[in-house]
Amino acid sequence: MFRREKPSRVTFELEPIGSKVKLTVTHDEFEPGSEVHAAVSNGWAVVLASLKSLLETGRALAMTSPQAMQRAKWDAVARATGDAR
Amino acid sequence: MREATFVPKTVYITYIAATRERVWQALTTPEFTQQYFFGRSIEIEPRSGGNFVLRMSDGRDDVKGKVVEWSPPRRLSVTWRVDCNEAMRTLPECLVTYDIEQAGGAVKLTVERGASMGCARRPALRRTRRLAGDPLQPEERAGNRQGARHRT
Repeated sequence: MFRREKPSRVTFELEPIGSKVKLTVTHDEFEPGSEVHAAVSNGWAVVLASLKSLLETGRALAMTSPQAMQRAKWDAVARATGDAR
Repeated sequence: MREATFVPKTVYITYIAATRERVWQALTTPEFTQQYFFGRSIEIEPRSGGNFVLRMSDGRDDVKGKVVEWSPPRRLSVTWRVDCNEAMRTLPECLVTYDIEQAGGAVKLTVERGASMGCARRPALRRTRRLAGDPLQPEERAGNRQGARHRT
């Protein structure tokens, strides 16, 4: 369903602030009523928090690991097959 | 109910690799806040209706308020009045709410700042930016002037 929509735009801005970096992520140019927009709205907070943990401590958040993705995929499959019945 | 008079204005969401109890401690104990809140020490009475202060290292009060909800380790809600200088003291107080939820091996922290019209949102943003060495952009300054008009 997402493939029907025109591509949106993601801009990453990196600005040095002292010894740190301010990262600003802007995701825009969605179609009106975009389903992609609804789907990604909660996602960036997770991804960026995990990126910060990874760069600062060497460990990403558990919820974004390949194992967690695999679990989420199976959960989605289970939900989909549940809906079909 | 007092909360009903505040309208949500700003929401921050982040995810932290810690337990909810540890995040609660980080929000409510001075040993923690001194390290990440520009040196401020929190003093908070652990009950609804209790007093809440963020104190600067020179002993002056930066932020003052009252506890609206004290529900460890799930939700903390406080009123928020910036007290550190004359200009900000005249602004209406905001309501700040922290929600702490378990989220797949991490904790989801949601910080919501409610605001009545003319709340300290812009000055607080400007002050935070100044401390971070990051001046406001021109379009934000325009918004700030508009905010100033609201307050008069």
